[in-house]
Amino acid sequence: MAYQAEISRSNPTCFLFLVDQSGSMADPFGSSVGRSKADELATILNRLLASLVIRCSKDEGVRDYFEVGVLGYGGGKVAPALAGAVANTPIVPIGRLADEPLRVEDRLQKVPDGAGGLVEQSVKFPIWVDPCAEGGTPMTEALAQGHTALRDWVGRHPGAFPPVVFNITDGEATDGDPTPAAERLRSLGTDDGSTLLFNVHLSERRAPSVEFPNTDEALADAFARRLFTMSSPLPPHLQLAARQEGYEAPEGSRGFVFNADAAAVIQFLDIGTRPANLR
Amino acid sequence: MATSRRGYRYAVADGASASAFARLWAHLLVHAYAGGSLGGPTLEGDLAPAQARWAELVGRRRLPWYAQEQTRRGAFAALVGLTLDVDQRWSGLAVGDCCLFQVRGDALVTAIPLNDPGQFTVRPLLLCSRPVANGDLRSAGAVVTAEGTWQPGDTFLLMSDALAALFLSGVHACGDRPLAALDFDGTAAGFRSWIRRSRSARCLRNDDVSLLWLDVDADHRALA
Repeated sequence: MAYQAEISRSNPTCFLFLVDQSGSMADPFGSSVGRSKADELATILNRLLASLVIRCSKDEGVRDYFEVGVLGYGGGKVAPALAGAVANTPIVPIGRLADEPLRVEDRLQKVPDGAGGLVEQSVKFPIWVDPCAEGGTPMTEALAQGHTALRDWVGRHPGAFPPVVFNITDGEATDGDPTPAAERLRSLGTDDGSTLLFNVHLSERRAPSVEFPNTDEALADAFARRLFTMSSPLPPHLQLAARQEGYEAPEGSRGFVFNADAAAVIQFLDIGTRPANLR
Repeated sequence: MATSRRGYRYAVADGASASAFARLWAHLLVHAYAGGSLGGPTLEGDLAPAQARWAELVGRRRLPWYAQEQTRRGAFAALVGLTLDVDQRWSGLAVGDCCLFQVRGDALVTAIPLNDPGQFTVRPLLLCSRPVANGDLRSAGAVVTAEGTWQPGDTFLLMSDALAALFLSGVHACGDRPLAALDFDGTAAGFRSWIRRSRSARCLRNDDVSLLWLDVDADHRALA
């Protein structure tokens, strides 16, 4: 049965993020006032990467359960988007990522005070990805470069839980139909199953989102339907995780959210990065 | 385990490996219970000395950002405790998914806080080394207490979650002899071998396991 492989230091899995850095990412993000999609997405990604590090952090240090890559696409090019000492590296073990952020900021965060209220507390906030918004949307090339990086990875990890790729975008590809490149990416696999490709569409309008659909009937246009077609069905453990978070996630649900606001993106990525069988 | 004039106290705690310094926190919880300083009705306040000790020990270390962040959130652990009084009464306390079972003859007469293998979830509510995170435990029903009487020949079992789930599955399968669900010869080597077999057969989740097996003998002593 697929998607059952134990994730361990000797058998890690891989998360690859393809991040739209085109010019339109400078526009406001849904209801966020004064914050661009690029700003919000960088914050979301940095928080998610920190969360992945903390999930792997044990008393003796960070265990390399995961390997992580971030490819940015925009400005006419596709390139690794991690900054700092891990810059220009397509995929890095989570322990190295933990030890080499670009910088660590102290940020204030509201946390429960235990008496029903909230109190501000200083938290450590590492930065690996800075916001960027420029040029067109070479999504097809990003999927192709993701394929190149993961072809090597699955070759080195034939027994691993398959890679999970998140493609996060606010618009259509400007370098042709990305569907064949998405198919090639999904065709890469390990003994435990095919690579999972999940798509996240960011909204700049206050429009209803469509989350984990199993049909394209509710999707408004050809672009949305194309992203749906490109998305992998959720394996059982992620379908269960989505349901536990209150989504309907019917049989055949795909890893796809359309018109997502910041909260929906955060929850989608949280669900999508939950391991099935972490040792 | 600890003894006093009034009886014996036993505890098992299971630190959540996803949190920082959970082993230390579990260790402190077991000692606090065995030392008689944790009670069901006043548990949240009773934890203060152990929480202060955890913070003191952790605070001495120089930590990278991720360990600082984990430490800010606190360590989490499940705890189950049993007190056997000399007057043949017992009391139990459980938070999280470590379990206490009482077996009398061919009957499982007590199972707290869980009594069905389907009740074990990925995210149980656990005791935290930061007081702020324990505020909702009681209202959520996560602080479970029980009491009863014991007889010579009774067996008490304290288990961490994965083993407890396996045990309850076995009890459901062969309900007329609960202890048959613990399919080993009573030795430490036999236990390790049975755990390995159960993991290989995927009957047992790949998780740490702890078992405290207490047979109460005819002299009213508990033999661990």
